Amino acid sequence: MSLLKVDDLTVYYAGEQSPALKGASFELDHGRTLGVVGESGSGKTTVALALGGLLPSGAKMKASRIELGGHDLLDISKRKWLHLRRSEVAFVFQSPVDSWNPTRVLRVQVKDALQAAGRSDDYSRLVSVLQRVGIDDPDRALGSYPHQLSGGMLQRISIAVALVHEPALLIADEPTSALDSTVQAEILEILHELRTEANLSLVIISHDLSVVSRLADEVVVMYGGRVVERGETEDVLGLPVHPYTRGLLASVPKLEGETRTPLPAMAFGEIADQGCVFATRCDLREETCLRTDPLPIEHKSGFVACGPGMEKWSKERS
Amino acid sequence: MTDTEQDSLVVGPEHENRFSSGPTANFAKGLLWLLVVVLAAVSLTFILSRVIPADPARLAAGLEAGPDQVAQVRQDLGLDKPVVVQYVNYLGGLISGDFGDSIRTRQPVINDLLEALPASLELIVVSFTMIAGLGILLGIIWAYWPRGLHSVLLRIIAVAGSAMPVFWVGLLLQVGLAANIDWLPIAGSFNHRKYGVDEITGSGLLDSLISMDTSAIVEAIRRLVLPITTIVFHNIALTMTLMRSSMSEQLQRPYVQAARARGVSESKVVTVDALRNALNPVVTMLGLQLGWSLGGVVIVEVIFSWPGIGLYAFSAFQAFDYNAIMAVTIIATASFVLINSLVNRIYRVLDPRIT
Ligand SMILES: Nc1ncnc2c1ncn2[C@@H]1O[C@H](COP(=O)(O)OP(=O)(O)OP(=O)(O)O)[C@@H](O)[C@H]1O
Ligand SMILES: [Mg+2]
Repeated sequence: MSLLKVDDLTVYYAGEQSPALKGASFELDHGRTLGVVGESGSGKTTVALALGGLLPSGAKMKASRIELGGHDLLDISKRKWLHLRRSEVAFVFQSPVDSWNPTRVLRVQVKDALQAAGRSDDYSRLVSVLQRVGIDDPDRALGSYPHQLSGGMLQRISIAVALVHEPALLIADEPTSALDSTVQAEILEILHELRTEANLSLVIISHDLSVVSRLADEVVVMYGGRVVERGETEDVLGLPVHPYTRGLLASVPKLEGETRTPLPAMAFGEIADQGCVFATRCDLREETCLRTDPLPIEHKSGFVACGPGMEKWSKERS
Repeated sequence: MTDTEQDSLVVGPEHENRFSSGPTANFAKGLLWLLVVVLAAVSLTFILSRVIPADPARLAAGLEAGPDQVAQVRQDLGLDKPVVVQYVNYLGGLISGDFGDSIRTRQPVINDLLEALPASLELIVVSFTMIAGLGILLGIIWAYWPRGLHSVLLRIIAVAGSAMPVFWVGLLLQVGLAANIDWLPIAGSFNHRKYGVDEITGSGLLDSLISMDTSAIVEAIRRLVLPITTIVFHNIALTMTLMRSSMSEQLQRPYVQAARARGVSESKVVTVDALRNALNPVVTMLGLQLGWSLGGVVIVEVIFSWPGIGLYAFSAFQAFDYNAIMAVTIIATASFVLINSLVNRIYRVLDPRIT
């Protein structure tokens, strides 16, 4: 049974004419990891926030279905959201430093979170989780102000606090982007291990394909607020179909000295109101792409929202 | 308010703290700074009082006095001595708390001031408490629910309050309210003798509360309504709007979202996490307002014939009562510096990153 099921999710921020997210659909089974990739502004964070009821006030959210662990997230009270965030879905955000109130000692902030869930043995369990994620001296770390600790330490604490109530789903929005590369690798390793240890389902959001390919079982590729391609990781990243996914993969710098092909940059406001969002940057563009929204075409384990891309792919295969 | 602006608003010894530390050293520095500022204020007012083309001896002697009498008064007041000697004498007097005599009331200025102080403090404490409490509360509400009827109302209050000069607000209230509502007195403060209340603190409100006489308490409150409304209406705009912008800025910070994501309840996120950071600029601003308040109550006290330091200063100015003018100036300056260094201490408690 799937843990998370999202159908046709659309989000408008307050006062915006065009949606930040349009018609996104995906699902996730228990114990699996979903990677969400896409360039800046493609709507990755918006997906995460929508799943936690954390969209800023004034934002409008529509969907034909959002279910998380049997809860219908479309019809849910504020209290129920609180309850869910305390027990079912936890978050780790991009900037560890900004995730903590700069003027309060970490211990009291952590206690606020634990108290919210209201379980008595939480603090001692947190201490052991902290040790598990590599904080050798939890007491000293929690006795500090955020500015006294490194980004890596703070992100470990964020992860520990997120996991202490054993949530079914952890949503990590660019958890390593703000860290330097050695720390990045350590944090990814921790997430990788915890996934199996804690039987955790994970949504990992990143614009870094290596992060996603390392952790994710399935991938959702986003562009301009749409999901353009979805499927098993090896299918999507190994044999990409959508021209955007292909461009994304080709633009990744490679160690072996292969030349990378830069992805043409997107100009501001370039995304059209109608037709394929990627059309203006696409080398497979056809007349119809500019007029009609591409329909998702089933492909392997997932789908691709691009007719010409699918044709090209089949030709290359045969 | 940006950080740099805040820095330039900081008055006091805080900037030197990088070079040496320790609470005692800080305290000594604060004291030294206070002395320097007060000395500068004393010197400046002293110079001003001597260069202004008015002759205090002439004023003190009275209109009918002949040249001989004026000369006598000049000698009595020590005004015939060289200015430097006068200055040294004045400083010498200050050290023992002697501000000289008032040429108007013919008593030591310090006595006049001590008599007037409770009335002013009553106005300042009550109005400041309301400005701070109400302003912060309304600012939070405004930031959290930025849309709706209340926000229109708050905006009108903020604009009207800050745009209308204090004397205008006071006069409007007198003409519009007090003239039509018998219960509200147009002017004047609590009369201890009339209500048979002992003068213990000198503040009508406190003394009537101590006497536990209901009619006296009501009278004391009745007297306060208009002057307090005037001060609060004019000054709350700044607190309210600053609190609102500071709070809505904090509410958009990632740490607020992160706390929500950790399941912390909305009320705690707002009143503990965001509020703490949002208060910083507001506390600084309130400190400045409180520092100015001794000067700020002058107009209100004059309009409402409130017998405090402000009214005293006003009368002193009219009579060119130079000793009284200097005393009020010195006290206003000293209280400003003192309050600001206190506020800087609070500021540091609120934000641990400031060392
Ligand atoms: N609070 C907001 N108000 C209005 N528009 C917003 C808001 N937050 C995001 N957006 C817009 O929504 C779109 C999607 O933003 P989102 O943050 O989800 O992208 P992202 O994929 O997470 O990007 P990044 O990699 O930069 O984090 C963008 O066009 C962005 O400008
Ligand atoms: Mg993002």
